[in-house]
Amino acid sequence: MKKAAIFKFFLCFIIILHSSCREPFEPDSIDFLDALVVESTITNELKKHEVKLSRTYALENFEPTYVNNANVRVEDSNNNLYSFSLISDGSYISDSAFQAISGVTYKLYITTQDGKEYESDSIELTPISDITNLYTEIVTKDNGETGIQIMVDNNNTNSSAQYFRYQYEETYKIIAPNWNLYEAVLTNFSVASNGDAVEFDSEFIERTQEEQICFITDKSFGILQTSTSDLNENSIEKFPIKFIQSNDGVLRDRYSILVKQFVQSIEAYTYYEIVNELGENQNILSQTQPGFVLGNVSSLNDTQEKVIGFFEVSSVSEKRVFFNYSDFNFPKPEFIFECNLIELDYSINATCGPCSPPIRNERAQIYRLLTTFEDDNLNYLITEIPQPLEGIWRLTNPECGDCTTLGTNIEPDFWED
Amino acid sequence: MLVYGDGNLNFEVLEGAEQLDEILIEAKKDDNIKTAVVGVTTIDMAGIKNIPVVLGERDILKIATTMPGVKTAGEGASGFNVRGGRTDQNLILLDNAVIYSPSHFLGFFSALNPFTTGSLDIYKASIPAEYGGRLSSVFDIKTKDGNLTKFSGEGSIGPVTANLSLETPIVKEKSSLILGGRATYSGWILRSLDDENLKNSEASFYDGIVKYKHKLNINNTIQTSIYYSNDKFSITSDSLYRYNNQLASLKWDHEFNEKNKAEVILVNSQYKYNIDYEGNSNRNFDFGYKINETQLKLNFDYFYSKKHKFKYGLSSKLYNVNPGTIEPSDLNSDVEYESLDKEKGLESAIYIADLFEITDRLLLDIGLRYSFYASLGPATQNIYQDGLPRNPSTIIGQETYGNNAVVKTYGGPEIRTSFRYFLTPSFSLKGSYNNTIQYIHLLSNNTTEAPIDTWKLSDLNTKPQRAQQISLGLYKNLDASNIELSLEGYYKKMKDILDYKIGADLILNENLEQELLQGQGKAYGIEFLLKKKKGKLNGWLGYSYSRSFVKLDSPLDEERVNNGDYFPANYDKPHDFTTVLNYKLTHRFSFSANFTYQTGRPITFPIGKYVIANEEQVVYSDRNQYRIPDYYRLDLGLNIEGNHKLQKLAHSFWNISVFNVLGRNNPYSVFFVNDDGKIQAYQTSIFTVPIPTITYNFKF
Repeated sequence: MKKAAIFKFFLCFIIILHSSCREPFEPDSIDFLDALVVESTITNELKKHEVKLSRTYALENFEPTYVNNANVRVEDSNNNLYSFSLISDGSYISDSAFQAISGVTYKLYITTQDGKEYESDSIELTPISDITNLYTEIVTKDNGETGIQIMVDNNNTNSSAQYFRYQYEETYKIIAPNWNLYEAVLTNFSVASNGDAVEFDSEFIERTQEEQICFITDKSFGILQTSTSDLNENSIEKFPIKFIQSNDGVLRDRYSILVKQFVQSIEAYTYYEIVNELGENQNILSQTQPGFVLGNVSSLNDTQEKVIGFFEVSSVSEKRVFFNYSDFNFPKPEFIFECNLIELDYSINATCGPCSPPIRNERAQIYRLLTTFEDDNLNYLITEIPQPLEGIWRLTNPECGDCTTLGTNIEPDFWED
Repeated sequence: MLVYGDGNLNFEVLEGAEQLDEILIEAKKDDNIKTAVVGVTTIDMAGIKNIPVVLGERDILKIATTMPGVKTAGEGASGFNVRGGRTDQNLILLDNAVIYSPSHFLGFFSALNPFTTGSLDIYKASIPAEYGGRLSSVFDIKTKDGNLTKFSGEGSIGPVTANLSLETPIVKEKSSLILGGRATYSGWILRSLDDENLKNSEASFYDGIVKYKHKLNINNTIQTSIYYSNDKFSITSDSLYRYNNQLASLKWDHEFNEKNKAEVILVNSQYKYNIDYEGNSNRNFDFGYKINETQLKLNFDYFYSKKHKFKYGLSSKLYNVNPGTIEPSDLNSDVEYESLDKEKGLESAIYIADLFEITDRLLLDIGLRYSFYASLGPATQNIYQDGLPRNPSTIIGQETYGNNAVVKTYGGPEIRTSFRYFLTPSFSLKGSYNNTIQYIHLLSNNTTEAPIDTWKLSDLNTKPQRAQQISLGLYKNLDASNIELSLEGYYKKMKDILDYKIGADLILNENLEQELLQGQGKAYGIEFLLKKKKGKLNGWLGYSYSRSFVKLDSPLDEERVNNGDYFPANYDKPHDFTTVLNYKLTHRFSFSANFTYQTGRPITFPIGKYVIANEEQVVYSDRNQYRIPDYYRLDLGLNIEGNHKLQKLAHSFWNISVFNVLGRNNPYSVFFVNDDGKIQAYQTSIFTVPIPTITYNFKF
């Protein structure tokens, strides 16, 4: 007992250092903070700008609640008023296109459905500084992973632009590996009384839309920032935007990335930096002091009310790059979805009695797999027309046969093959 | 007999014999009611033999935390919070030299050898004028003097450590040597475990002390102490942490005449730590931090009259800090060598104090200290635009200073004054007013002090911390001073205490001032202590109600925390109840128990989630709005003395104790983890089960 307890102490001591000697703990009564969350960056692009409004949600929930039916507007110091309208949950788009101009200040006003008024600080457009180069390099990481590092250079000549935030949008082509021009349609079916045997006729019809080649666009996730304030030179070199492992399926059929660089003010940079830092995992020896991070939007009705988020007016610069896995002599990556190929027997012999070996008849399963697909309950689809029809049918998951289940079949305007 | 002039007087003496009763001489018996010092706690090592211990270690600093007004952030936390002060506000002296990290194993054991430690005085309120440089307290630890007549020793063998101390006269009745050494065999225990992970971890320490005292003649005594402690532990298999303390002190006592005495003290202390990182990558490095201080101090005593006793003196201390150096640890490493500029400072002070006995009832202790600090070059300091947050864009210039050029000076008077008034011969009222200045700051991202925290000197952009405290106390002795009762209250204000912006990065940061905030603190409380010193049942019972708040206000949003209002400090634990009891059953058997209850410390909780930049983030409550669960713990112990035969090799006793008898799962820290989108709170605990321990102690 004694020995065990001492070992337990050491175990705990060491494990505490490894920060995993832990057990769940239910704090009594945490008052959930219900606060407005504002996210908006107006830029110097001439376009319809966006303001996103949501509310905080409880720790055990998974989805934010969106704030709809708010009155959202931006006013500049030249008394131009830009009104915004709700286009989807929590997303408001300006009614007309406009662009931020230097020397003018902008202010965001929000009136929520319950009549509460909010406003941001007056914000000026940040200095302009463009991305010089967006490029790729093959790198091998410490853990041995090889892949493509997408990087940005900015030979920044504008010394007042020192804080940068990046967003990107990846678009990649996908070719469904088990695509078939035809779809199987089952008709005239009858189900045996015991439910095991199913009889039906099958018909194969040509697909009416493009379902082989599609495009997927993923937006960046998280906060990506850098600053030149602690550098002697004001330029950014080899700033890593994204690393793609050499066997990542996104590289299988052509890949493209659009990188947007927002020049930030020191205040906006600091805000996002702290938010990001608090979101990172911490160990017991380097806990950062958590706390409420104050943004630049406040309530007009109640100065004590907490509002989350930052209204930014940033100059933006963007660049796009395309590449294929073959440009780097990587082997062809697997498809992004793991395809499940099923072979089922359509043979007529419905019943056989004590056959040895038993003759398979899996029409009931074929029926089940193919028809639930019809109910939008995407299950399986046929990958090739069986020859002969009475033989073995090959089915696959829709993701591998119909690319519209993963992406869009409309080629983006910017796409270059 | 008084002789007023020359002359002769002849007399005869007759021989006679008389049997005297046993005479007991007790030193400092009534000190608690007699002296003018408020808020002082004295712990005598000899008196704590029977207290239940964890893992066999008798720990004087752990005992200190059972006294009202002295707290730690939790089990395994090093550093003390005295009367609502930060952990860096305690001047911890071992034989007059500052010991920067007085603990082993991240605070599980104190770094002081229990066999060589003589006594500990903790000054929580009226800090004598001779001490300075810290706001909240002085822990004055004195090593025992060696045995002047014969060779003797003491030792103990516990489950984690072994300890041996030896004392020997060098010149009989004149000089003696005491030496102590302690080491842990935890490294051996860890290596013998089956678990792969634990097998490769490291956790070990040792410490050693030598003290030599020599009485040269009736007027001159010199003593010197050397102390060294070392800790080594690994947190992950790829990093090894090492920290060590190194102290050397020399003291010369000289008596000019009956009225004038002097002490010359020369001390040097050094604290350093190292992180050796060795992964499998090209990022292997060696990180080091070091602080070194040398102090020369002169203290004079002048017994002017029965009414006036003066103490005066001066001191000067030179600090040298290496705030951080990182270097590649092998040829393949891509880590670049970087070393932050060294910091240098000179802290000097003069003081005078008068113990003024106005009447038999009223005693005044009036002290005045003037301290002066100069931050010295070589240094490069950023100059920031006034009224703007300190960040890279508000730097308007840089100033470079040559070697020993004065960068910035700070200073000020420190009043140390207190009184005692006897209401009755065994009942006194005491009060004090104190102000203190501290020129050195501890940087710590943790709520608890850790050995990898760094100390920083005040400079152009970092002001010294300042504090003022008033205390009032009532002291009553009963049963011929066997029972002591005290009730003390205090109110303390602090300013320019250090705090950090949210998400501050403190290590290897050459623009550290951009991460720091200097705010105000206030603390108040009442402390009650009942102590029974003798008898079959002895021990003490303490309770304190105390609060400690911090305020970080600024016209700038970024530098304001909790809307600029006062909020509870990390170590604000209002209720604190501790009792330590011993019961002597027979001459050989005694029981002991101690019980502690404390309010859980404040913590910042996540109170919601939101999405920004397509990513889920957590929104936190105001700082320290919530509390972790309360802390309580019961320990029991049994002491068995060896037989009382006269002829034996050594006197020995066994100590059997059970730590945390109730198996209470006291949280050490609480943290939050995102488990697949659900934020789950976790607590880490150190002692979740009762820990039994047997220690064998011997003495010869």
